[in-house]
Amino acid sequence: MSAAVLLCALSQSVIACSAPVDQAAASAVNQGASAVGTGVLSLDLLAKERAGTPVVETGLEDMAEELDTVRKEFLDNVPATTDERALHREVDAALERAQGALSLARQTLASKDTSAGPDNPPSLANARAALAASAKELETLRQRLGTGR
Amino acid sequence: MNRPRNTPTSLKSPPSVGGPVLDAQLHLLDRQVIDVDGLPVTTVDDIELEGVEADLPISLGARAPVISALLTGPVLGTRIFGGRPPSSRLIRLPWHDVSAVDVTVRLGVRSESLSASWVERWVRDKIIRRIPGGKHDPD
Amino acid sequence: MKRLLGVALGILTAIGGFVDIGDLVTNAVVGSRFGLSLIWVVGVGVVGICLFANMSGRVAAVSGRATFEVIRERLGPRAGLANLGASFFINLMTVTAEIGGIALALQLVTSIHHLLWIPVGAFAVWLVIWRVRFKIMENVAGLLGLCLVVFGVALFLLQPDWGQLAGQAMAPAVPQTESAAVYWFYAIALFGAAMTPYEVFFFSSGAVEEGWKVKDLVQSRINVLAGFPLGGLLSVAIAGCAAVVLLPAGIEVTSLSQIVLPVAEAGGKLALALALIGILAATFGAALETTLSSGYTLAQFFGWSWGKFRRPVRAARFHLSMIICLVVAIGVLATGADPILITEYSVVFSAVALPLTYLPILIVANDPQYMGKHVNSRAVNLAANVYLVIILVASLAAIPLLIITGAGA
Repeated sequence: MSAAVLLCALSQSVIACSAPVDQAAASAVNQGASAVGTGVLSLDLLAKERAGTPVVETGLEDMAEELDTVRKEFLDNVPATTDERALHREVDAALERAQGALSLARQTLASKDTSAGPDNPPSLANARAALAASAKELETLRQRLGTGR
Repeated sequence: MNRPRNTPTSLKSPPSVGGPVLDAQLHLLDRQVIDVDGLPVTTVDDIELEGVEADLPISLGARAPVISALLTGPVLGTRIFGGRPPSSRLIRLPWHDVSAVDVTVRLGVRSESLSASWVERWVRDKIIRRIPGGKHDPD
Repeated sequence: MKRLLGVALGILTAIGGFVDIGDLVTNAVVGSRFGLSLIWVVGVGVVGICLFANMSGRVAAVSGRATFEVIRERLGPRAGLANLGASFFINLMTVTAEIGGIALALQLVTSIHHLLWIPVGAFAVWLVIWRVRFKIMENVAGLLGLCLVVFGVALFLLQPDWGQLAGQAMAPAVPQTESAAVYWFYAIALFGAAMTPYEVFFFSSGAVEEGWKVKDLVQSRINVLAGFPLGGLLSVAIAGCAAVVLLPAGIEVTSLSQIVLPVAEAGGKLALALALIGILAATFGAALETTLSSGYTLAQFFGWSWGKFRRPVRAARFHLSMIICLVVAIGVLATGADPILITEYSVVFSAVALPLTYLPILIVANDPQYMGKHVNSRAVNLAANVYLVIILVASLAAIPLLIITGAGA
């Protein structure tokens, strides 16, 4: 029983720390692209009235959590060479922009829920555009780095 | 069941008996025990034998040992990990309560009167009976 | 007519009851990452569970003995207890995953955070076990679970390139983006999801609950042989939806909210609502089955009185043990552990533990002392032995692959 628990912990820690920087970058970009892609799809479905707010809201929340974890785990990697440092900075910046886009989308949805405050509420179209830009950036990175598997 | 450690070097063929033969290991141990109303009571965790001393060789021609009781409860631990529980801690189902042995062991008495079911009774009276709906058939 | 209705109801509940959180998550993950290139495993798993459920149902109907009574009688206390420990632990993990699944599904309906739904879901599960009759419980959960058919409908509405899908399914290959080890890891996960051991504890104990006799064997065989393969098709549809919508968008499934997006894309809000009802019913039904299974395994091993056909006071320790299991599940989920992650581990460990229950059932199904003339036929034994090899290989390979692939990451 405890062996199984230990195994879970072990394999989780293997994921966390054994990968070299370029592999960690590839895997973080891959997961980030997946999360942002989900955000774009969810907002599209909301705009076409094919999905209700609860599903979209939950989806965005899940993806925001996932991005947070991905970025935190990625930041645990310490780059050694100059090349690695450049890659590290580039990927981290992309992940940060992805986080920004997702939280913009979530704020928009929340302000729509509470029938918009006085100061010019951000529109869903803006949020979608930000997410799409982030998705494109991460996709380009993914093409370059592979999936890290 | 504590099997005698010193087995005789040669075994005579068993004496013929009237009626069916039960292998205690195969047909009694780990079998489900069911009371006269069909309610499961416990599993046979061990067997108590009378007329044989543990760890002593059985002399040829001695009277065959008799099953005096089926045992249950913590004694299961001793079959798994070894050792022997103090005799006072054993929970006995007297052999004279057994009415039939087939795929299960059937008793001729109700489990309510047996010491083997005290845990079940305790859980029932202290916990399950106090939760609303516990006394009714499901709807 | 009544008999025909009974058969139809049996098949329908078997279809609706086939899918649980494990099938749902694993199929969607696999579909979104491998397309249909792993779908052959679902076929292998479905045939396996048909064989296995059929044998354990027959043992229960003919001898009146449920799985764990037989396991203890055959293996003795020491090996039996080790078996109980492993099986019970994995079953408890599955209970936890299913209750987490209920909570996640409720979050999708209400947007209230799933941690708040966990105690509600667990309490509802307990209440049904405490008060609702076995037959009603089975039928309602199974029939509502049929709403998952909407995944199949959605797949058609999406108008995919059928030739491409068939190509992936017929000529399986490891996609370029994935490694071979990860491919085989997910093959084992899918196999474990389709053949979860609890289905067998539940199936054989359910046969005793419903008082099956030898004459009911035909009906049970029809339920299994028609219901499970159709349920397997539902699994394939879930994977197919993910393969058509999520895979091209580069989305890899990590949450329940992603699994329903293809259905919304295809059929809009109505389809989405049906999918959510289906998921809720499937996870709730499976939570009932796994919770009962944890009570069944303990009670059968120790010889306690068990069964929903008795009043709770007549099966006190059985009911108490289930309450404790639910409390433990709530406790684990309350730590914030991700239910999807628990699910992924539970299906893999299910594959690891499968031989522990499969082998004793296979032995007893061949034992004339229990089975009389209803022992396995030669054809069944041939298939059963082939599966014994498959099950052993999957069980032995599971943990090494889990470590090598970092749980498929």
